Amino acid sequence: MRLFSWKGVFATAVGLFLSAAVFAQSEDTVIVRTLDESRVVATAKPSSTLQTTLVQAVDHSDIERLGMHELFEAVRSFAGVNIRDYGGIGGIKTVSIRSLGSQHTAVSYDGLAISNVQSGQVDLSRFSLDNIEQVSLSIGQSDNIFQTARLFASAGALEIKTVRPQFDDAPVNIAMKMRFASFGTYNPYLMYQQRLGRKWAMSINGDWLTSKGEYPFVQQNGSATTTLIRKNGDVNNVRGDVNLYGDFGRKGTLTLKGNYYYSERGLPGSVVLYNEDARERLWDRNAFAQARYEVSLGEKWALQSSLKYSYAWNRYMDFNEKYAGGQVEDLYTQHEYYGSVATRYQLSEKIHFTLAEDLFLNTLDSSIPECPFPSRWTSLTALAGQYKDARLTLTGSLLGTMTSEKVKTGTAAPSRQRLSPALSLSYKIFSDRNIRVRVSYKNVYRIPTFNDLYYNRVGNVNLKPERASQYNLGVTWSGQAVVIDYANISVDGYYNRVKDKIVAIPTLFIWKMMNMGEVAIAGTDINLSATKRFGSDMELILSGNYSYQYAVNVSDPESKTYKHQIPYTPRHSGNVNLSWINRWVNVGYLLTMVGDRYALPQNIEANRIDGYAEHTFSFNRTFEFWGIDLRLQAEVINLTDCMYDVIQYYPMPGRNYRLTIQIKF
Amino acid sequence: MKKTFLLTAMICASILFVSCEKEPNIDPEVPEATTGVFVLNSGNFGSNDASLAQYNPDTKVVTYGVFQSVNGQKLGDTAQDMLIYGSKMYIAVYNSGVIFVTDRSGKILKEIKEEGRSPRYFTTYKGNVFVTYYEGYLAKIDTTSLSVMASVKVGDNPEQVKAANGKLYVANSGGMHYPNYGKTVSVVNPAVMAVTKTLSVVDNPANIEVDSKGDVYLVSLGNYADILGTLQKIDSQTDVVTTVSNLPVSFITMGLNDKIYFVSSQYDASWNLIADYYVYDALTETVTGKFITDGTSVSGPYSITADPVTGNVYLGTSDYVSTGDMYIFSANGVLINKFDTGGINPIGCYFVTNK
Repeated sequence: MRLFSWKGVFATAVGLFLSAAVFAQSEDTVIVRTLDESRVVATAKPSSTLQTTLVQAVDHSDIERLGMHELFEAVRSFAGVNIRDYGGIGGIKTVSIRSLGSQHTAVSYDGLAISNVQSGQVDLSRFSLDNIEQVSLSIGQSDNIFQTARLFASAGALEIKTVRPQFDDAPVNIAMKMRFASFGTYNPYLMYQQRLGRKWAMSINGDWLTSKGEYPFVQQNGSATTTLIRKNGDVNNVRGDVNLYGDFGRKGTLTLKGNYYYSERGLPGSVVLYNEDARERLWDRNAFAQARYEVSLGEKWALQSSLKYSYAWNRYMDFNEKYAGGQVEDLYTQHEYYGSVATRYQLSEKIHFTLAEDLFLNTLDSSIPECPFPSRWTSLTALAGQYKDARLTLTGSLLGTMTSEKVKTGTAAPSRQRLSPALSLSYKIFSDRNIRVRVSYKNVYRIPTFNDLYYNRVGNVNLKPERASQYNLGVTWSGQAVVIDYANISVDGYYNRVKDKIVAIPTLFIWKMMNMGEVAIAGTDINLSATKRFGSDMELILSGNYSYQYAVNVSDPESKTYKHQIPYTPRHSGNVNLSWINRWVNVGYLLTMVGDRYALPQNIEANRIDGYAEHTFSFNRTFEFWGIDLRLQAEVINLTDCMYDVIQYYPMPGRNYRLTIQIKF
Repeated sequence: MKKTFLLTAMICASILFVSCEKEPNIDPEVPEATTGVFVLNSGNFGSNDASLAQYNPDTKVVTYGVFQSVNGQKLGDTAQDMLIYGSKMYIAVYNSGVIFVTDRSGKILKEIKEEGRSPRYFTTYKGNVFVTYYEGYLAKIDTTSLSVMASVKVGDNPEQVKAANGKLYVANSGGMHYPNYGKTVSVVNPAVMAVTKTLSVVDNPANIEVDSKGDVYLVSLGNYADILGTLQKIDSQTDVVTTVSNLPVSFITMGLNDKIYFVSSQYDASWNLIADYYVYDALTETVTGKFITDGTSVSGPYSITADPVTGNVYLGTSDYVSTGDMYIFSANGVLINKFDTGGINPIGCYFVTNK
């Protein structure tokens, strides 16, 4: 394994240069001091047992002690999710909640949804965890009803919250990281936070990730086994945030945020037997700017308003003699203009109502033939109410969706109006025991994406929206048990039904998007966590989950795939996370287990993909000297060198290593 | 001088003879019969699940995964065409970019791999095998050395090729050049491997058959929108192209007695495919009527091939996600049998006879 190359040396040099520059600058002006790790955690993790629906979260300290680095690593540790991972650092990663499909998952970044009206799904590989304070996933309607209407509009929401700066005496916080990983991967990161007077603070952070992405994998072809190297998987990413925070006391808070992401990557493609030629490339450029203002208006009223502009550009190329001119180039540009206002009215101590109105305009330009240049106005209105006392929490909401669409050529999809309700409750059965029962229902409505409607030859403007119903029944418990200091358990059973599922149906020579599918999903998610302290400086933290998903195609009783498990959905999956905190070297252990899946709708041996178990160990220690925190962290990922595919013929890397050096002051 | 010429001619002839495929034993006492049917499953693009099944028309038993069980390795990704010629079989695996040459049991004799080229369809002419490559080439394969001996640039994304009147007709689909599909057929002189003429045809030509008179029948698939699939005839004497039927045509096969069986399909307003099956008599040059006469309904047609001995018609169906079905009809449209092909997208049947 080659860990060093000129690129890496260069990256290291850049990292060191930045560090040196920052050191030189800060020595005089900044009182360098240690930063207590726990101080960084500003937002309380949502309790997994008090909610009326399943909410799972990891925060900054979980991320650090378990050695997670990319966003998908955190999401993967949740129950009830399937991640589609095309392998390697550059491989696209999307998340589907309880088999509903990734288009039913909303992803928000500091409170505002990240959109992709072209494909309807967000690539998680765009986010690292370096600047993340908390990642939470709510399935169904969360109890946080004072939010944008968009977060009411999907089956589940993955919410990403970035670190907000906190200052003690010094007006500046600085963190630098340099990460080295297998397969020629280098990743320098820099964060700078500064207090600007009494009301303002700013922060800037960014990282550069470069990787050759060449990793060995084992190809099984009948009885022959060959070790090959994954080719054309190089990655070059730059990502960063700029934030400005204003706190005006009773006059509210203002957050301004700019985010930029650029990526160039090779697409290794699926492994094709007898043919190793892979030349596809993908470029992405995403940027957004958002402003968010929150204020309390007296005792009863509160207001949140947000504005956001986002830009997404991507370019796909492939090179082959069979194309006109020997290459194909597709360009796509999306713009979104988004505004949201939400207000909360506190009727009494136990009851509050919220009303949120979101309005956004999405456009798509593309170089593909016959692109109709669609644009869509969407209005979402969410009215919600909540009753909460010591024993009962009752949350209800009603979402109104209206869309209106235009195209420059051809026919536009019709305008749509729809109301979708959600209702959930949690009840503490005994007043003296922390046992709660929760029940919830949510109806969601997925509007076809621009690809579904307009993609050349495949798109179909006659599509109806996809409808999904979610029912959940669960029991939770939390408390102390015998030798365990703190434990909580939740068991949820659910039933989902997806109707008018939008699927690509082949019709002799061309594929067409159709409302053909119906999927029935029944499953269970079991979550468990426990903490045990030993003395003053030792702690064991265990969390684990198990998911069962029976997700079958019930579209057509005549078909050979009727009641077959839908593709890429394991019946059984689970995770175990264990960390041992001590005075020497903290140890984290992550185990991900996924059962057999099928690559295609027919559950036959030829389509079966073997299950797998991936073990990751992480070790870290923080040294404090001269008022500086130096943290060394190392991970062994896929310790057993398990060769597996998440997506068939997209092999995942075997055993690999990551080393991170971090300085904070 | 004359002697030298004669000698040279003899050497040439013997080389030609050597390079020709040895004919299997022809015993005039035994009537010709179909002894086995290979079914080629194209598989799902990107899934490396191309496969070969074998159907015994006497016992009606199907054997699955023939290629893999004989060779211990998979056929690859997206099988496109197969040819049984003499004692050998040729299988073109498009996305794997390989032609497997096997014996009649399916055992690999040779892999023909041309760098950066993806094989599509075969034909034979005067002891040679010809293959189209989707990158725009027609290649000539020597059946003894089993390697490409000559290659010629034709149009974009060629599909099928057939010989008539001493010429090879290549359908240049331009399938990768959407929305500018190909509109030509290349006429190639097989001896020198040079394009002698380029004929204008309806958009997206793909499928070719030749009748006993030497007329070339060509299906152009159109643009899947306003230009429908069109059946055309090329007179191989004059190379004049004429449209022969107003029915939208998707694909054709040549059966016994110059009967052409064809699949006609159209989309309805909600993009459902409506398919029907017809017979065209190439001698009288008329559509004689619908093919299926016993009321059997067949949806999702994917391939049509005819047994050259019995005249039975094999109609393959696919929903593109699950294993296909093969319907066997007699030449006059009565269902004989139906079986699961064991793979996705059965692209054709290839017949082994005792001759």
